[in-house]
Amino acid sequence: MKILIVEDEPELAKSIKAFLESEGHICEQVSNLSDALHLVDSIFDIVVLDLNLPDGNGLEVVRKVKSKGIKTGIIIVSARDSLDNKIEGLELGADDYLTKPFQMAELNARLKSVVRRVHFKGDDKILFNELTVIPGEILVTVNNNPVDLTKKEFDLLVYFIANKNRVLTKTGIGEHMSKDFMDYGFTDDFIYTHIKNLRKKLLKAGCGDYIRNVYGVGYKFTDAE
Amino acid sequence: MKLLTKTSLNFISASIFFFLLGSLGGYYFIRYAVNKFLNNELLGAKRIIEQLDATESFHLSYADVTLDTLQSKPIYTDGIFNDTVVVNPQNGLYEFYRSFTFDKHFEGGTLRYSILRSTAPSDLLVMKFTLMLAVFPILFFMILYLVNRASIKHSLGVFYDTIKKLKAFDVNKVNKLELMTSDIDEFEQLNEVFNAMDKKIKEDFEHLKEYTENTSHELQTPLAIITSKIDELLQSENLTEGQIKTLAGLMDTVSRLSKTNQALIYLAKLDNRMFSDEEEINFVELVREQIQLLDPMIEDKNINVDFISSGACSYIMNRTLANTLIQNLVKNAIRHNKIEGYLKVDCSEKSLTIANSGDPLDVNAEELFERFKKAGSHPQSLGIGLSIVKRICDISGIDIKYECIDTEHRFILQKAILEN
Repeated sequence: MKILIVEDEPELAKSIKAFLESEGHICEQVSNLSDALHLVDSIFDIVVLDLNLPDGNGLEVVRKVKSKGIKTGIIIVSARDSLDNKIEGLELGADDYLTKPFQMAELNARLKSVVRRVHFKGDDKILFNELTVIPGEILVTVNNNPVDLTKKEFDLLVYFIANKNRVLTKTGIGEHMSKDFMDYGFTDDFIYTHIKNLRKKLLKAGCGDYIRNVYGVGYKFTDAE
Repeated sequence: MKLLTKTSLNFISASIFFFLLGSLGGYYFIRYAVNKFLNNELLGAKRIIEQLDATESFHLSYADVTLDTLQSKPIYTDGIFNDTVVVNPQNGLYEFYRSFTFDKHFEGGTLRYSILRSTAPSDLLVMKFTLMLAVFPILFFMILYLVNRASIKHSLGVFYDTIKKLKAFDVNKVNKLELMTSDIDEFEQLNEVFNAMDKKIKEDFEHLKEYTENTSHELQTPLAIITSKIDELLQSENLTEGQIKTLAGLMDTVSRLSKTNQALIYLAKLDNRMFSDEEEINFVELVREQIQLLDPMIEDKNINVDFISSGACSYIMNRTLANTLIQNLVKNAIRHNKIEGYLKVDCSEKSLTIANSGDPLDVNAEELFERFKKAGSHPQSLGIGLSIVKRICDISGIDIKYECIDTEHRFILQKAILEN
């Protein structure tokens, strides 16, 4: 995948770039609006876009991409979490909106989901050994036998597979799980139950035990011994 | 009480008092003048009588004279005025008379002269005068009052318009106040002040909003960098258990920091009333949705959910706020619940009650809605959820009450009685 990162904060940009490159993507990084507007003329699969740029609003990039009809997925990454900003960004044609601070695993999961939506129109399959996940149909099979998962468990599994072999903290998973409904003033402490149920269902269906506990602080989805 | 009513009432009551006093004074003054006139007439009659001999008969056109023979010495040598009532022999009615009585000594006896003069014609006059004195000023005063009232009302029109527009004032609205212009200097000045205030308040509000956004941005970006760096470290190979635990602890702390920051920004937004779109919210549906979303937590603690809905429980408010409100309350009820405890929700037309079993409260119930007050030291609680609940209730016109009976904690939501 060819990814354009538009982020003016050098440290954050460096982290995102390093992370995406470690995932095997080719990245270009710019730190202002004019460079970004200039660069989006060439083809990118995904643009990771910050809104508050030193020389203007990042939404200009969304406008330009959408007016040209280029098949580029756009993920807005912004510290502004007001609903208006979100709605405006998504209405202009951005594919997802991520509020800072976020964890790389979260960006990764969103990125993969956007790639599926924009480039595969949702009809691809995620394969992991005996596991097959079809996001378009919200279907999971183990050795071709469907597993009955709740929406939350399904979401969790997609998140795990997108971030396979990474240490995922409980906090990060909790934030991912609560993204659908903003809650203020509480942290999430119920991911344990979701994970326990997901693990139980997968094991029962004959799937390997891939969800590993990491010293009680998080989880890792891996098939390594 | 309206200014117009108040001044009118004062005007009317003072006027009535003084007019009554004036009419009474006028009546006595006329009465006095009429009596004086009658007395003069009676004295004139006396002078005529005195010139005549006792035996002569007198013919007075305007008064009657009666004579009595007294055995004693004269008593009223100078004469005395009196008001008397005499029965008219023709029709048996009482009639009022002014009388002058004097005694005159003659050889062989005393004669008492009583001169009577009917007051009927003058009484009528007095009555007419008094009536005039009362009725005309009252008429005059009423006309004056009505004209005055209309004039004040007209002048106050601008003032009432200003009040009406100020009542509808909302910082969230962009349009200007647009107050009427007036030819009265005081009102014109008042409106100028209000216009300036309106501009200033809206400018300040805009600055505050910008400040809120900027604070969020300024804090969230460094937090994002810290998060990404910790994450990077966490993925390195060959970390010891201790190192991973330290990094995860750091991640947790940063997350808490970020959430607290977000919650405080959210509270600031609530205080600035940035959620103004309202619609009808069905609370039965909303609570059910939230309970379903939190099902894993409920299952985990094996909590028995008892949902009673005895009526359509709906309220007009902002949807985002309603969601946060119910979610925070339900989460609170689950988080502070016991294993194998219960959660009772009672929706009725008038109120919504969310009750849960739990440990007795160890903080003061009144302080429960304050920021950073938390029961015990629940590791996942930021101590800000309930103060968000309270703020949402405040700005949405909902009365929220907390009750703790033994080990049952109850939050009761009711429509607030609107005070005008």
